[in-house]
Amino acid sequence: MNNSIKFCAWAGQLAMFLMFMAMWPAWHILPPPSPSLPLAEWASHFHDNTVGVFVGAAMMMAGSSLFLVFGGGLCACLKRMEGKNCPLTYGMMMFFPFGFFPLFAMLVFLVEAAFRPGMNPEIIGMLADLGLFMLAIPGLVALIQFVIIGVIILRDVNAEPIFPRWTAYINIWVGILSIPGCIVPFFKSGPFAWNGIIAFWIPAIAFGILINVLFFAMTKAAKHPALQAQ
Amino acid sequence: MTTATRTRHIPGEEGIWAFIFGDLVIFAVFFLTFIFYRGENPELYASQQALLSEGLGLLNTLLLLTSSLFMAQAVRVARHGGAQLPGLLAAVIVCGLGFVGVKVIEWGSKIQDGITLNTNEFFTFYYMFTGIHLIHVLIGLAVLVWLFLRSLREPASGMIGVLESGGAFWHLVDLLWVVLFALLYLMK
Repeated sequence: MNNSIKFCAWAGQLAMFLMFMAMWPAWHILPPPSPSLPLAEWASHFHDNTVGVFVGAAMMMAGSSLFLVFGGGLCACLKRMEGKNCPLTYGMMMFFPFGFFPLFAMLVFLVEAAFRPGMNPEIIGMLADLGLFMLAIPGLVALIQFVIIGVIILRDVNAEPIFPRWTAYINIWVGILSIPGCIVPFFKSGPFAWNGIIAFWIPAIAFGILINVLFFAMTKAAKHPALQAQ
Repeated sequence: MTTATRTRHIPGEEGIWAFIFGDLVIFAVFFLTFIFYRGENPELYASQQALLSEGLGLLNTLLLLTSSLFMAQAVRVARHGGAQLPGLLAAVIVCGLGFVGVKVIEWGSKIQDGITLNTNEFFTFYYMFTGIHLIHVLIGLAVLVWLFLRSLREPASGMIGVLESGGAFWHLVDLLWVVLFALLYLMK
């Protein structure tokens, strides 16, 4: 049993939990408020809830960091699949900080939106917009990341695969479903806005499914002979 | 020969079916979303639908249906030796590229007319759904090129599993387009 990989897999679960707690009870942005809210109302969402915003920021800070621990465990598995030369895995190691940094940026913007309640609502609204964009926009980052992870799983060089092959297809599926996130700047309402079913809910639920599928695959891979300490 | 036992056979590997099932569920949600929003504003949708070229849509439908036929032939041929396999796969690829070409012409003429992603709700759906479908086509084409190159180097008998998986995906691409065509171009 490779306990490091198991630990990393659980870090992903904890990260998901913290992210959910930050967004739902702390920030009240689950479901996300409509981008067509009047600016004053949108601004008051933050300056009327400063404690929630700051506590949520702490949770998101821990959560976004734990996603990188999760990524480390995943990359250890991917490296074994790809074999000695593993350029795609190196690519994925760079993708993790890139893909999860927006969660950190998001909390900084939301904290600033709540920091000076007397500030002009237009400025507060802009900061809050930036925060919400961080959540939805990286759709194509997710597409490329998850499709490449899928390809690595499919090209596993081991006689006994490290991850079950169906997990590759789930990765590719979630990657494709993430695409509409990148067009949220076009819309203030409807299914493609940042609170819409196609740009937010489907990618969000798919992401939740994916982290759990990877969790399952990693805890299983922790027992794989190729991943035991030499 | 006494009692021939027919074993159940799932074409391709199981994982591809997880993908196909998942994709069908999501596209069903896409389509229901479209129908819901269309119901809110039927006049707008009808007037915008009239701007689409049914001819080009139909041409693309025929291209994909033909490509699916070639794909089915390719899998059948591979099971019986497979001398014509590379030719059939090339035919599928040509039809697929034709689809992409028609899509480029169609989008190009719309963009020239000033109709873009956020012109109105109908065209948002149009560009997004056909765009996500186009990404499926491009992934399918990449897989087909890989299969074609393999078919030039190795015997078809060893490729049946991957051909079936690739074929199942290509038929999904075809199926989704047929529904998209009906929904965006034809539904009155």
